[in-house]
Amino acid sequence: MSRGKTGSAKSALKALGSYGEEILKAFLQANGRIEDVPENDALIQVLKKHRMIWRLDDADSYQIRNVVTRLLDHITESHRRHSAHEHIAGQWAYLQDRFDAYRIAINNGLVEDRRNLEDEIPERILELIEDIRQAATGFNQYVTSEFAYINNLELRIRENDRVLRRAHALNVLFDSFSINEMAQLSIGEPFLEKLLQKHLPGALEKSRKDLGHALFQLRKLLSRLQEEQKMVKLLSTFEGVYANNPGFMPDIEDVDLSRCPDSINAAAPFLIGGYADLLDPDGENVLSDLANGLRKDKSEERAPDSPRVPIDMSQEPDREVMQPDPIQEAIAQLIIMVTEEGMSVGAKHSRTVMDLDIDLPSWLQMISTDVSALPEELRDAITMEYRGVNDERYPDNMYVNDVILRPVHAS
Amino acid sequence: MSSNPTFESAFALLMAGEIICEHRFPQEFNLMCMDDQVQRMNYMLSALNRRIRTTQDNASFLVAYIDPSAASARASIKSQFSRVINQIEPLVKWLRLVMDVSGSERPIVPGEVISESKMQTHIEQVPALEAKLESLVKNGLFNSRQSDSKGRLSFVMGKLVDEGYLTRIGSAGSQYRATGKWSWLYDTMSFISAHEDLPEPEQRDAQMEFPE
Repeated sequence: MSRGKTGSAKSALKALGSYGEEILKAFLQANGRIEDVPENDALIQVLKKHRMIWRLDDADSYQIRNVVTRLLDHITESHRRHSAHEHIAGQWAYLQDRFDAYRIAINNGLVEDRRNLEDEIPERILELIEDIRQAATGFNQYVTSEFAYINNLELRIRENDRVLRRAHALNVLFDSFSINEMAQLSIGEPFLEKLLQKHLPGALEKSRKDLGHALFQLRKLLSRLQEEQKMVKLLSTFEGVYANNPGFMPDIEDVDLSRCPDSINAAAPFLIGGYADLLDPDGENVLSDLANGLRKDKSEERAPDSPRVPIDMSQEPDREVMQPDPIQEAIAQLIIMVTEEGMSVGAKHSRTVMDLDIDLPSWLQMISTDVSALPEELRDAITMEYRGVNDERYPDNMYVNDVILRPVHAS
Repeated sequence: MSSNPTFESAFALLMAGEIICEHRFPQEFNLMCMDDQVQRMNYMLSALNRRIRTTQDNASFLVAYIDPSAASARASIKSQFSRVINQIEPLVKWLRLVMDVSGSERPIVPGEVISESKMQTHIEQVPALEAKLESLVKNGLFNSRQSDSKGRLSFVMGKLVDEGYLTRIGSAGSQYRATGKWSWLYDTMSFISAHEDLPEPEQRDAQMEFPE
């Protein structure tokens, strides 16, 4: 590079440095517009000298050129992200102004102005799209970091709240872009239609989704931080109480338990146990397996058998003699009287005579059963006659009150 | 009706007085997230004057009384309250110890992982933390006769597992996860704070705070 060109470049950079504050103010707050007023004279002269500003006619304000804008874009990226919605809103307002100018240029046949605007407008729209994308994705860094770079919980909550409000404002701005407006602004020009009805709405839609996600996460984070703040306060409260009042014991004697708060309403443990149903055939297999297992375990744990010692049975074991049943004996006697002695006997009468300790119905039932159960030969030798009263409604049924046993030949 | 082992397990745990959260009983917690299953349980519990309720953060399930003013319920609530108020002071001290060790600004929450070995390393490096641990095991819930920090910390962690506040991760036993029982404890503490009208602490500047 020649010395002259280097000198010019240095001078241009120096000019940017000298008027840095004014240039940044114009770029960030006035969409790169510099008003042609006496106090800006020096600035305008220097920038004009280095071809860093331009304007269409003397009535217009000066505009910072795209080459400088790109540099400013780059170096002020983080600042713009912080005030994204103002920046985008400003860019959009400026674009609307350019669209008006473009329409005038077409209507009045201003060929050169039209060409200039056809160069500028697409560049501005693309910048706008890029800024929209950056603004929307810019909130992701807060979601990812969870404001961990701020130590104090209170300050973290405030920052979260502030970012949330900015994201909300940006969302409102995105919603303000309408498809109808884009269609009107494109005025049938193919290059505008493509940008305004395809690329810009596409970028807006994608950014809306990104922003929606960020808003949701930020709200969740804020809620969590507030909850944590509550917990910190709670913990500190109790620490303070225990420090100032050792042995502090709250009580709930005065609490009306009919309106017991859920926080202390916890039921006492309630033991649930169960036994196997040994009579359930369905579970028999399972139970037998379990039982086998138990028996096996027991045998494994059993101590080794002790040596067998013979048992001395010098005396005979006690014998228990079964006493004969007097009722059965009485029935046997009656049967003998009928079969062997040929007598007829009445059950009711014999019960009284033999003085048996049994009620009449049971006595009659036992006689009837025993006689019926005799061997066929003996049974055939006895006739049983039931005596009683027939039922009035069901005459085939009888209320038996005596049984007469007779030998067959007698009957 | 066919039996459902997870339902049976969840029901038995709840009846035994356990608090079901996703960190300690994940399968049972998933079942409790289904409205129809909770309705079914409530139907079964209603005859016993009981119902399912959640902690305020909806992170845990437990059994509560439908009519807490019934004589047996009243006695039980008072007895459980007496038990928990005896545990709060040591638990608060432990929470502060964990916050001091980890440099965190807030008490632990359900799901948080706590490493016993990391805690031990930090405690052994800072005498003030060792003193706090020693004071913690002097009496009450964590009363222990262990003579060194490692033994004391291990005892405290084991006790918290037994009480259902922590659950072990993996088989090594040095990593723990906080359970939903902390939510229940914070709910109880909030109630006490409101009921006893405890004074809120003055603003503490965490950045200026150093371990004792």
